[in-house]
Amino acid sequence: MRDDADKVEELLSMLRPPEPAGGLETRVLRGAREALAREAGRDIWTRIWESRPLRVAWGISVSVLVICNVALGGLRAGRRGPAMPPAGSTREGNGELTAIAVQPPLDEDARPLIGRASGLPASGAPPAGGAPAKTRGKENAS
Amino acid sequence: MAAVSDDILRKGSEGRDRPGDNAGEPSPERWRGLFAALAAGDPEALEALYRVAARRIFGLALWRTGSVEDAGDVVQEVFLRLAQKHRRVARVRDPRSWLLGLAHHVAVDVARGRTRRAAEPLDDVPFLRAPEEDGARAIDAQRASALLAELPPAQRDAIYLRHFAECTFAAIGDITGVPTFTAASRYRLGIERLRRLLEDKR
Repeated sequence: MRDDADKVEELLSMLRPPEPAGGLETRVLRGAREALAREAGRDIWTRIWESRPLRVAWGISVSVLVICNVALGGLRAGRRGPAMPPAGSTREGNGELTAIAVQPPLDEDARPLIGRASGLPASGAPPAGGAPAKTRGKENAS
Repeated sequence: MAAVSDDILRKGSEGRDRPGDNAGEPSPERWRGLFAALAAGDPEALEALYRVAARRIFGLALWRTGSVEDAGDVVQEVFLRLAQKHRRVARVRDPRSWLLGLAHHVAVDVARGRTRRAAEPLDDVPFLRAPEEDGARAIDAQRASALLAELPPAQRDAIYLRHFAECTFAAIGDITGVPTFTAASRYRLGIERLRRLLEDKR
C-alpha cells in the first residue's frame, strides 16, 4: 500500500504542471502596469473617497449614531413622564438636607406661626373638625 | 532606492534556494524585497514578480478551475489586484503564501462564476506535462492528468501546493483558508484516491 502511494508520488515528481502561454505575460504585465500607474496617480483624498472599507465604516457609524439617538430619545421620554417626584417629598426624604435647611428655633417651646408644626390648619386644608371643603365652597358661593 | 531595487529585482529571478521544482524560487528575503519595491511603486517589480510567481499561480489556477483559459484570467486578475493593492503589500509577512492565497481566492471565484463549465468533463485538461519531449513520459502525464481530473478540487489544490509549490501543510492551510490538519488530510485523501484510481486503471 505504501509502495503504491510512493508510486503516485514518484509519478507526480516526474511530471510538471504546464507553463502559462507566451502571450499571457505581455497581456498581464500591460494591464498591471496600467493599474499601477493609475493607482499611483490618485491622491490620498481620492483614495479615501473611493475606498470601499471606509465607505462601509462611514455607513455603519451613521447607522449606529441614528440608532443611539432614537434609543436614547425614547429612553428619556419614558423617564420624564411618571417618575418626577414632588419637591416636598424630596425634601422630606432627605433628612440631612432638611436639617441643614431648617433653622433650629431659639426657644425650644416656641411654635412657628405657619406650617404643620404651628397647630393651625394649613391654607386650603379643612380645619380640624370643620366642614368639608365642598360645603365651604357652597357657603362662599352663597 | 533605485540601486537597492535593481539589486533585488536582479536577484529575484536568479536566487535558487531550493533544488528541484522550486529552482528559480527566490528566498523569503527576496520575496519581501520584491514586495517592498512594488509597494514603492516600481513597475519593474511587477515584471520580476511575474517571472518568479506566474508559473505557480497559473498551475494552481489550472488545477482549481480545470481550464487553461480561466487559469490565464486568474493570473491576469491576480496581477491586476497586486498592482491595485501595491501600497499595502509592504506589510505582508509571507509574500509567497500571500500571493498564492490571493491566486487561490481568485481561482475559486472564477470557478464559481463560470458554472456552465462545471458540467464539462476535465479528462482533456493538461494538469501535468512531461518535462521534456519523451513519449513515455507524455503518456504518463496524460494518464496522471486523467486521474487528477477525478479528484475534488480541494484535494487537487492540496496536492499541487504540496508537490509543485513545495508548501508545508501549515502554508497550504493559510493559502486555502483551512486549518493545518484539514490541509494535511485533504492531501492524504487525495494521494490515497489517486493510488486507488491508479490500481483500478491497471
